[in-house]
Amino acid sequence: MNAAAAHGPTIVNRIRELRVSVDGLTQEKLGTLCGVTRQTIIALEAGKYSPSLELAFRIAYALGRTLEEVFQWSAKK
Amino acid sequence: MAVSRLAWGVLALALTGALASLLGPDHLWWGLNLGSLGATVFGFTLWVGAWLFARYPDRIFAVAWSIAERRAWTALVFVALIFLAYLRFMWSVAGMPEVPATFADLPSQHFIANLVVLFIAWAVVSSSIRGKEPDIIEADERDLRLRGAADHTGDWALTILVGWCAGLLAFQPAERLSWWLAPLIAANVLIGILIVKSLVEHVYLVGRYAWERR
Repeated sequence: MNAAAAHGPTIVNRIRELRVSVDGLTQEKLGTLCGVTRQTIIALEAGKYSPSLELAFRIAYALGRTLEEVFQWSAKK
Repeated sequence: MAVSRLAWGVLALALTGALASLLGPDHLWWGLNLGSLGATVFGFTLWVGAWLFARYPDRIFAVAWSIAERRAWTALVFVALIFLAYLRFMWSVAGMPEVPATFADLPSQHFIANLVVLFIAWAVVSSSIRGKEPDIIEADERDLRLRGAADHTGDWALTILVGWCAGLLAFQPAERLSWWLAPLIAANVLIGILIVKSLVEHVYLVGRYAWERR
């Protein structure tokens, strides 16, 4: 079992903040760009889901940022 | 609102019909045969419900629900209805004066007919949920991860149910044990265990979806 599953998401993200800074980028559109549903973007923004590494890269690419700018890992226990 | 009032109304009517047919198969209530009335109400609402799903999918579920979540809810409703049909069948088997020796001895005609109707309605509803958009994402990595967690919970439920059955058999008096261990009874109990496992899986799955949407 990984840390996220045991203690809740320990990966925090700035998806919402960065998404609204991109003109016209809705949750639906970001989801389509990354190959996931709008509901997954909602869960990610709410901090209720930690993405796979591949999805994290896709989101960062779609937002035009590096992985570290979008996601941060916190050593919460 | 997550599910429309119309959907709740159809669901409530179908469940009332199913319960009436389950609880009163041969009982008259104010001159009415509850079992037949319940079965008629249930059958009618099932097909009305299937037609509504096919015709107006977005009026049944909230737009905020993903396709996978809609399918999970649909599966939960149909597995619950299959479980009710199974309970009704086992109720009539338990009331038989003798242990059924062959498949023909089982009062299974209604149960099989109910299963066929439920599976057809489930297939109709499930295929209409996708809608007509060509590029829609039906399930992504979060849906698959939730599905995996639900399967895991179902495995635990199966383990507990099998253990519970073994314990139940161990403490049965000898004359009752022969009834439980009759091949056709044991086979139907195993089918019941699989239905309950599926029910637990789907309850867990819709619960996880609901929690992540809070």
